Amino acid sequence: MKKKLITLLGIICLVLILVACAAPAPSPAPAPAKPIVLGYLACFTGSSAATNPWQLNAIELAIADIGGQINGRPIKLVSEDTASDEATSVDKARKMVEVDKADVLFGPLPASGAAAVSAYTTPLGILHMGICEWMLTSLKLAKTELAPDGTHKGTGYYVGLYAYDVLGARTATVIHDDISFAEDFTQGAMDGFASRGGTIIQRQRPPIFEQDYASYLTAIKKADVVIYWFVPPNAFRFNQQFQQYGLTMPRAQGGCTSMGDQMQQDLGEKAVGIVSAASCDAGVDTPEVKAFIDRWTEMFGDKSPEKGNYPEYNEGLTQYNTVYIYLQAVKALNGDTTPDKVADVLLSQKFDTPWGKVSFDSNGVGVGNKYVMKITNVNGKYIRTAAKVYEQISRDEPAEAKDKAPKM
Amino acid sequence: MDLLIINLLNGVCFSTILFLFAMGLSITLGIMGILNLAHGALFMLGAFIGLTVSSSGGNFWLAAIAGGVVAGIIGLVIELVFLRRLYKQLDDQVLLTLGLVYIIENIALWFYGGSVRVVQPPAFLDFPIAIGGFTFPVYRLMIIAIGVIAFIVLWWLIDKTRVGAIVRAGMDDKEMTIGLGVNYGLTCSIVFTVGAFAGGFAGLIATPVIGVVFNMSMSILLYALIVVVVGGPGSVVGTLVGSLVIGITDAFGKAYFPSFAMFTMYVVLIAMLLAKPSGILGRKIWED
Repeated sequence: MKKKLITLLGIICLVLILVACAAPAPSPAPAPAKPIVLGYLACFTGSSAATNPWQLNAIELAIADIGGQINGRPIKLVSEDTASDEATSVDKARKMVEVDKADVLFGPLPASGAAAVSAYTTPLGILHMGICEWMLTSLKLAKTELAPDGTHKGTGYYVGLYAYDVLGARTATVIHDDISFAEDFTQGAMDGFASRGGTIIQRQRPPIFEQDYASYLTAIKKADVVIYWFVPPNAFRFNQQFQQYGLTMPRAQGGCTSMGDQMQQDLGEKAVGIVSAASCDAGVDTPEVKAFIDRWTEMFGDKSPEKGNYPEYNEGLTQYNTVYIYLQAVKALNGDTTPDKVADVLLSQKFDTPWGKVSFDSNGVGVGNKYVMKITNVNGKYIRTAAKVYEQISRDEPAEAKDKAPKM
Repeated sequence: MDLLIINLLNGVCFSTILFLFAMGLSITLGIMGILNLAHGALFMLGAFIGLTVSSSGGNFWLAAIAGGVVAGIIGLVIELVFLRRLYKQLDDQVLLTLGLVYIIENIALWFYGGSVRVVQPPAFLDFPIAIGGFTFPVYRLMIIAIGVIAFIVLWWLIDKTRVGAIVRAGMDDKEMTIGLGVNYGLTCSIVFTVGAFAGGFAGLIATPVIGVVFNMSMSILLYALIVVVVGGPGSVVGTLVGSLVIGITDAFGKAYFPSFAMFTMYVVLIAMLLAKPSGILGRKIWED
């Protein structure tokens, strides 16, 4: 009897063990989705640091506008300071690619730094997008090099057209920093002006470290318009001294604006009437831009320039546009960030931005609106307002206008 | 002829700004043997302090004095805490003061942002006058007048007062001066403070022309160093002569040889270093 009981217990135990072994194992926790890593080459210090307060804000807003994630993949922003220096830009780009595993690189702001990074990213097939105008040579390297904001000549070209068509100028004197992108900006403006029949009567190139433009202002020839382009501190100094010398010729900044709201306020009446061109500007009066400004203000606080939160520079807005366009392309691929695939989508589709649709031509140059902005006094505030829109144009200089202006 | 006069005035105005700024550097180098590369940062700081005073409702001249006073105080602190321990250690002076430049610039960036700022000149000076077929800003004529006054005051102080005699004696023979019972440390501190004040004052005076931005220290310092080398350290008259040589050469170079605008003042510098390294009216900095 006892033997039978023990045998029965042993069989029951054996059955229980077999049942337990046959039960399915609990499912392991799902692995977290690999983040989409945005690598941003910033200019927190150095000559381009003036736009610093808005750089990260713009990208954070773009990430928020897309929902913070795409197909379960969270979006992660990695930023490094390039000190507005070319060699440092390449070092930081390398770190972002090799250590941070960035899916895309944005920037840096200076075209020379962007060109240096392009030379690094192109052989590796890393997607690299501009946050400001680029040199065309950078774009022609590979299809993974794209500039939604176009080229320097492309921006200057429309200022030249405006000077002839709207300001009624027939002669122009040109002055700009003696540096490559200032040369390109103003050459584009000169080509646009000359393509309409305008005459360039003078060109001066002060050194970029110049602080006192007295001699150049004394030598400036009388013309219907002054086309100029200087980096931010110099643009301010030039305009300040221009008026002090009693000069009254209309001024056209032959490229994007390089004066923010604070500089315009400090110049006051000296700044009124200056025109410049931009792919996006907070002064464009449309419901979409207003909604963008409202979202910005809601996310980052008061838009007073003193608080440093307001996107007074075009670059802060271009950064938003570029990142938002990229994220839309990745969304179209359900979160696939393979550079070639994303580039194919970017080159084949149109994308929404607060400043209208943006697409790309075969060179990777942006196609979209270009706004001519004019500084005006609105109730004691000196702000830029849109004077004219060139709609859905290539943001590079048209082929028929290239080299229309004489080499001077 | 009119163009010649205008370019001459352009050069003299720029020379005046250089003189006001370089004076402090020249005196501290000539008297104390200290190369203070943070002098450019004091220029920048004086301008920003003046901007703050002006923005708060203070008038232009109060802003200029305030800029000079704050720069002077900071200069005094730098001399007492850091530079006094580095007498005759030129390499360490350079490293230390360069480090101070970075610190001061980043503090300025933190407080004032990256945009260039300006203080507008007093309204009664903010207009141009006609000179022949050209126009010239009245404010720049005021800068020249300020420079003349500053030169007279400093020349009188150094050449005609007992304090100036002590300063000159210290430059010629520091040990003998100390042996005669002069408190040479106090003298150096006063000289350094006056130099820093001049730098900060010059910063605000120059702001209506060139503005102020956080990273201008080294670019403006370069001009001052060239002036000191050309004019000779430690001499008020030498600094004035050096400023005029550099300022006028620069103005005429830009006007008549614009392609070489970047080089004209450096040609003068190189020529001076080859012909007379101590400068036009320089004294020996110090002797071991």
